Amino acid sequence: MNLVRWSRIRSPWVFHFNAGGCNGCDIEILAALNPRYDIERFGMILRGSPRHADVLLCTGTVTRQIRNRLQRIYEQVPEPKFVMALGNCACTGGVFQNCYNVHEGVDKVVPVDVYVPGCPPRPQAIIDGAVKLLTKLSKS
Amino acid sequence: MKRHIILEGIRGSLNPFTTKYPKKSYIPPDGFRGAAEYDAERCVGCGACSQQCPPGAITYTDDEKERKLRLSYGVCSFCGRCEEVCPWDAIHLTKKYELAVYNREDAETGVDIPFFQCTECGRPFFPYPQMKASLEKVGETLAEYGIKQEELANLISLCPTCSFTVDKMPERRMFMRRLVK
Repeated sequence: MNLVRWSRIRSPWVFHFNAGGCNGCDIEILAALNPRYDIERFGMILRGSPRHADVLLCTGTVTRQIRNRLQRIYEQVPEPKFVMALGNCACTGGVFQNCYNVHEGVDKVVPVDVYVPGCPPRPQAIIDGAVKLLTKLSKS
Repeated sequence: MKRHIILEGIRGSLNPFTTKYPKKSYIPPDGFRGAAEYDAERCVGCGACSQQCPPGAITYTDDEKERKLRLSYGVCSFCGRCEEVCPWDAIHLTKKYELAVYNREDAETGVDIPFFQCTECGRPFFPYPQMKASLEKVGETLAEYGIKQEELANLISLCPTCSFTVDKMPERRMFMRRLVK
């Protein structure tokens, strides 16, 4: 069991999903993945399919149109799965709060483990969020 | 011409270019707009920040004794408008950026401002520090017209309901007349 947990903490593969954001957070994710900040130090590899991933990296306020897709993608991620809400829109809806077409945050649709506020969050803030997620994993 | 870029390139090819961020803390450059924080000693609770906040991140709720100003980092867009409008220089953007939390409600900051109680009925109706600061601000101007600060303090120490019902009405009206002159 310990080996499974150890490997889970050492290689949390991520799937990135934009649920209706402005692309600011997505570009910061790319910055966090490049060699300058290198989030792959923690074993975080960006995957193209949710079936390969452990962590769902979700950005953007959840629009009404994308809600079902987000739910379906969340269901495709194998257990145990974790969700990181990245940016203000994903945390609470941000500047789009009280709009008619949004669900004000990822946690209204799927359960969220770590919230990373910022508009957009710095690459360092994303790394900090990832480290906090891994600490939560290692304690659970 | 672009010497610093070439130098950085050479330095990057010799040593590892990756930052050692979680082990070594990182301080953002000057002018970085990070999380805003209140200066509890300076804040008077006027609520100007909450009125001007573009995404509506700053809210306040009034209860029996205090005005609770709350700034939610999850909604804040780090524009710095609150710092710009604050008349008392009480809110500042810091360089803090590590804001990740496990619960949505944890990402917030705020101050509690006590209320001033009406001298007649005891009903709290106005933030006490704001009253004190406003009196100090207008004190010099009042002195030019020969009006004491205590007189004005006496005038505004009644809540809106009491100020129209108590029997000091004529006296207060005379004072108001002097103020208008």
